[in-house]
Amino acid sequence: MIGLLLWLSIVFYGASLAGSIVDAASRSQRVWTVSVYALVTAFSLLTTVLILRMMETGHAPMAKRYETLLFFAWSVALLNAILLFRYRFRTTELLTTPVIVLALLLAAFSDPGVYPLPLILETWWFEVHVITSFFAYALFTFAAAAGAVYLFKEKNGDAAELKLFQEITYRSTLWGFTFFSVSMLLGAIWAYLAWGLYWLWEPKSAVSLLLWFYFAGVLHTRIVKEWRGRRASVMAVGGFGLVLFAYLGVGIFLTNSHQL
Amino acid sequence: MRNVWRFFNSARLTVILTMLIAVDVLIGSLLISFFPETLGDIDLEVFFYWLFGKGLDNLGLSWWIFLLLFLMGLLALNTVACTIESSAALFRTRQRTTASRRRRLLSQAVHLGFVIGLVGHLISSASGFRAPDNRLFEGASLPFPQDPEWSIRLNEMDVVFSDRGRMEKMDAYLSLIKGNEVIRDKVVRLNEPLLHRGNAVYLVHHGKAPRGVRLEASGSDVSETLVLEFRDEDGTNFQGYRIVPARFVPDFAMDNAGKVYSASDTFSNPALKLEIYKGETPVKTGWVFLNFPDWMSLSLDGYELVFSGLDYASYAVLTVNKDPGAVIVLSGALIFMIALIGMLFSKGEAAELVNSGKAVSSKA
Ligand code: HEM
Repeated sequence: MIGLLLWLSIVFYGASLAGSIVDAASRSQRVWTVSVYALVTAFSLLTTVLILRMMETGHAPMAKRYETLLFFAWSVALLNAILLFRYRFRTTELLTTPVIVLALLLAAFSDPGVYPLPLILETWWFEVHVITSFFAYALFTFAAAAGAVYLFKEKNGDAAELKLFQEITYRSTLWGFTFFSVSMLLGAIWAYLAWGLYWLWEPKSAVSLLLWFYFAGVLHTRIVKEWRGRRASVMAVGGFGLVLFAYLGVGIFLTNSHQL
Repeated sequence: MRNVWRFFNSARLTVILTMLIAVDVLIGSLLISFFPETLGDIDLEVFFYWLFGKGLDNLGLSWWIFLLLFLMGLLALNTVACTIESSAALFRTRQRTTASRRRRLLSQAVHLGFVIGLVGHLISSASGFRAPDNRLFEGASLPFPQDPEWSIRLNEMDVVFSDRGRMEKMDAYLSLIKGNEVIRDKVVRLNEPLLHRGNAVYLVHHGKAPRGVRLEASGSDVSETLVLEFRDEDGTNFQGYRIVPARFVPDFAMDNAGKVYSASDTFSNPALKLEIYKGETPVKTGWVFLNFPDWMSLSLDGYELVFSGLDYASYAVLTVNKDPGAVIVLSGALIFMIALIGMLFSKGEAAELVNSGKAVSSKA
């Protein structure tokens, strides 16, 4: 059942993406409307998948790669929905929806087995720590998408539009940085309660520290003239690579004591 | 002097330093991952003890930590300089609106929080202690390493496994003791340590192991089981005698010179040397063997002492840490977070992801 809904959600996100591409080219109102319906359907399906998974496992959906992929996709999808309904803003969907689709495809081919949680994860610190970090990842993804649009339009976009994307990169980085700082603080308090150390030198923590300083740097590009605009956008795009490394790369390539 | 100030009071330096730190930590995370035999035990000791001991001996793998310290130092000076400059500017100019003033103040608080956190971390890295792997049997006590007047006693372990063998509960019932007085009782479990005067006691795991031996003492009129702990110097009384465990070996063996040693750490051939006293006068000494109860027993005044079994007890493995910097780090982090969130909420439209809630269509 969950598998079927997941595939349906992927199909609808695919349709929504195709709609945004056609919309970007044709600017037809009808295509726009259809792709919005596809997005809403896809998001509802994905949300249902997450709820069913929680009912199945009895804990928040963030314990194994399969679950975190779903949750990462859902976080980006939630942000897309907010952008659509609060701001009627869709330009970056062309870049963020493929991220959702890829994460869902990876999830669809991952092991969906239900395993009991290790005792140390049975605490709400775990849930809030992970939720905030995935919201941060979603915001950094959005910042990267806006940065990429800036770089794409740099040659022939008008100044107002470039300024808009520069602002978006800055603001979503600021929100992402805030969520990420909260996540690191919660993680530090949890580590102190669990192991007696608020900081551990293991790869996942080290890469989080790297991300934190990197995005602190991105924020400060706004106050240095020659780092604004182009360089800041390149950094935001590069930041997405670091996010992928922090989330997936560490688990795949490095040994680490983190569960995710 | 002016040049030094100008060097540090620069946001360009901030961007460059944060990028350098990111690259340095990236290299560090790879090294930690690929050289765990050298870098895997950093957290077992107070950070600087490790860094200036094993770290210095392995500079090829730890250079990035020294570089990180240097870059962090520069960033701290950079942040202090910027915060001073921006505070001074705030007092010099009066015409700014209250909203922008508030934002400025909050951003200074963000920076202050960061610097306080760094100072706290410096204190953490140089003081306190980490004492892992303390095995404590039920009923036994452990004094705090730097505070021996205070101790903790393990009263009981409560461990529950599910049918499938998954551990569902691991609770240690501890008492905090000052001198001989119990000050507080606390159940310690994963994610719930006992915190007291900066000492933090963690339950890491548990187990069951032999804590002593059982002796079957029998004669024509009595038959009694005596339980002796391995290191019980006072021994136990039996029919006017005092029976003291003098030496225990888990796997009895003897070398050519007749010297007793343990052939392994396993309990393959447990043997116990007993010393028996009447008052203070030694009357008898000899070995008893678990594997050969009849053949190797000790007789005493018509009674027979037989080594009949090992006395198993539950134990907890506890870590005791003290980190005087942690509370300063936490305070800095809280100031940082509260000011940062305050800033987001006082930014008005500038905190909206795209623009204010008003429509900005992608078709615009
Ligand atoms: C790692 C150290 C630092 C961290 C974590 C940090 C963090 C932050 C954060 C979270 C903000 C608010 C975000 C925003 O509105 O853009 C901010 C703003 C700012 N930071 Fe930093 N900062 C650091 C070091 C510095 C340094 C060294 C300078 C000196 C140039 C500096 C100058 C500023 C300025 C001028 C602002 C903008 C204030 C405003 O908008 O009114 N920061 N910083």
